[in-house]
Amino acid sequence: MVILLPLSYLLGKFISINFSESNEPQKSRLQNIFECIEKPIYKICGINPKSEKSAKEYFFSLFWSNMVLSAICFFGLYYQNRLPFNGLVNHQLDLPIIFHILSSLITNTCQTHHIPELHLTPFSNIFILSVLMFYSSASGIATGIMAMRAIILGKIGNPYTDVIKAMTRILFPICFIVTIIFTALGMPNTFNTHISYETIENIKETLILGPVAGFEAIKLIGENGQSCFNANSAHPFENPSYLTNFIQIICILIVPTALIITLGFWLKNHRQSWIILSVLFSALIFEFITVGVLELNGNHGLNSIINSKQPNWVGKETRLGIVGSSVFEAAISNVSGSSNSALESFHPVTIALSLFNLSNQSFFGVQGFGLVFTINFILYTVFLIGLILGKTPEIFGKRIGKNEILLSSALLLINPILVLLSVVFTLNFHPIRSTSFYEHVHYFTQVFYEFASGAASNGSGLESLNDNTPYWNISLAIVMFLARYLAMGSMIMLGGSLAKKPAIPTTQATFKTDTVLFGFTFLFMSVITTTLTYFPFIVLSTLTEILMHG
Amino acid sequence: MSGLRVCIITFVLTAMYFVLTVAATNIFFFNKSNGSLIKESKKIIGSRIIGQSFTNNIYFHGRPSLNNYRNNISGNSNFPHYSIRLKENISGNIVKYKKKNQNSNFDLNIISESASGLDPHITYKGAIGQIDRISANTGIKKESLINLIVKKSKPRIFGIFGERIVNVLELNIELNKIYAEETGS
Repeated sequence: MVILLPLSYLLGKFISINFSESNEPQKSRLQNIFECIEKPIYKICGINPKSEKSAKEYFFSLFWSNMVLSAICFFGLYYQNRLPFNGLVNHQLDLPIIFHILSSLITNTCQTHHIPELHLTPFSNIFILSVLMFYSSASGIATGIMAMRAIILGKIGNPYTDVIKAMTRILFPICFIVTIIFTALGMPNTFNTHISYETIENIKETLILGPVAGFEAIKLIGENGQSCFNANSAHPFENPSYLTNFIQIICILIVPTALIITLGFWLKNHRQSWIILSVLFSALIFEFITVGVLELNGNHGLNSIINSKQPNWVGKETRLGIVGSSVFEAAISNVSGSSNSALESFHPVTIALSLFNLSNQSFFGVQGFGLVFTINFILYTVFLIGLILGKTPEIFGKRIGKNEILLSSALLLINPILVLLSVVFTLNFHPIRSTSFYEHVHYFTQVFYEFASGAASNGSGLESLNDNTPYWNISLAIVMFLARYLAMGSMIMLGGSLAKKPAIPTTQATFKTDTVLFGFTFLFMSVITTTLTYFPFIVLSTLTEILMHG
Repeated sequence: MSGLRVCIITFVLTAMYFVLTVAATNIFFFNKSNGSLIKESKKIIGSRIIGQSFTNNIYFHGRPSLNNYRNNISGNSNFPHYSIRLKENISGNIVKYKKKNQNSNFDLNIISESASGLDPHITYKGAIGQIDRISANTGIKKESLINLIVKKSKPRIFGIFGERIVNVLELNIELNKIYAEETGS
């Protein structure tokens, strides 16, 4: 955290200068360099970077460009065995899994149902999956920044400019630096696809290589979670040491933290962003400690077998240790779908916490979207407080009207409706056949987790669910698609509708959102709202597991 | 139409990004960017950071692995926290461990699966638990084995973070050397 905050402060300042769409005459040298790079890109794409669009146009441009990219990538994946640079993989993918891969990558979810090293060629990994990762992450940042800019500065901007800027000014430069650091610490980064060798016991083995460090960088900075290997960040090539593990955690949290700091810069009120950040970080630290303590105490079913109290090593890597794995797992449940240990082997309380984060989405949350969910919760809190105290609800100096409340409630309701309906549907029409009661309860947890992580664009999962079947692939593809684009639409419309409102000066009667009191209210509000929505499901899944064995 | 062109530009930028990063890392960190390979008499015998399967009784063994340290599918069995299958798996591993090592000086690390199935390390305690067997099978003295483990083990970071760990492949390479010296002299 000591390293994370200064870095994200710098990045936040950088974003606030570069995305404000103001016509300042003076530009720094860095901005001039970036503009030189971007000018030819704008020219080729036929974009006028200064042109403003309406909120509706903004959303549809972003949506259609996402769809066009998926269509191109569909053909790339479908004919992957005819493309060059195949490595060891030489077969076609089935249609359901292609739909799932595309849907999960373009929505920044990156749920992995396939086995990357077995199903995907190196070419698809490098030139298709990572393109999708860059673009979906940039779309997320663009949505977040657009909503924030519209609410605070009242400008909507141009979607393509935002996406291109998000790539050239945020994602590519940071990923480049991170790749170099990762390789220096031991990750491979090469175009060699595999190396055969013989061990000292004369067993023939094949090492699978690739541009792992480059892929890893965008996986973490873009908060995607799609990996070159099935084991994700647990694979020694993706996470060679204790140090890389901590750098990965910083990488995951840096962009969301920076976006909240940008909010402070644009509001010209840093107190606001520090209040929000301290709420989010205290929630995160609470999770770190809970998960860490539970894992250090171990699994008492196993402790009784070996007759001693041992930390829970099952499904964790020796070099990352118990604490390293726990902290990573707590951090990713907020943001991305990467994982450095088997989530199944963690204590059910950890899974309950993850489920809470997946349903809440506002504690850091997925790239760009998390910020809007945070703002949405602030708006919601302000509205409810306004109802209680009898004040007119205002957010960042803009009056909240009927339209905003409608969109805000839509944002709050998209996820519960999609997740809860699909869980019920699955349990009815796709039940597990087993005689053990525990397996039934755990199946409930798995189904709930799978849909929650799909709808929250997170992508982690309880992997003992046998999920590479047409049913799971198609149902999750639909859920992820709907959750992402419905949310994106309401976010952009929310921004657009607040952009039109005139700013009103703060008076004595205004409810201030930058006080410690508001921080607590915000925390309670988001915890209570989420818990109320999902409580029966959390009780039936993880709490039942704990009560059965606790 | 600009949407399509933006997509194509993304393809070009991503390709450039990969070419540039691979070029840069291969110039500065050639060995690391090619998988940290270990060579012995010009033959590749493995990667320093990828675990290998060892079954011979004269070597140190790694943690149990679902796919027996095959590289083509990484991963683990993903047994849920409270499941009976996990308990059965651990009990089975304890039986296997005791059959080989005739002692109960182990921690949970050496009898449980890692997350990737390719974990190159074991804990210090896990290595110490295996010296009786290796000493009996190779004739190398226990003290020199302990010295070897101490020499090769990495301490905790700042004394508090992480575990005291040993790389199994490095240990076995050293064992091979000691074994060659003793039989040679």
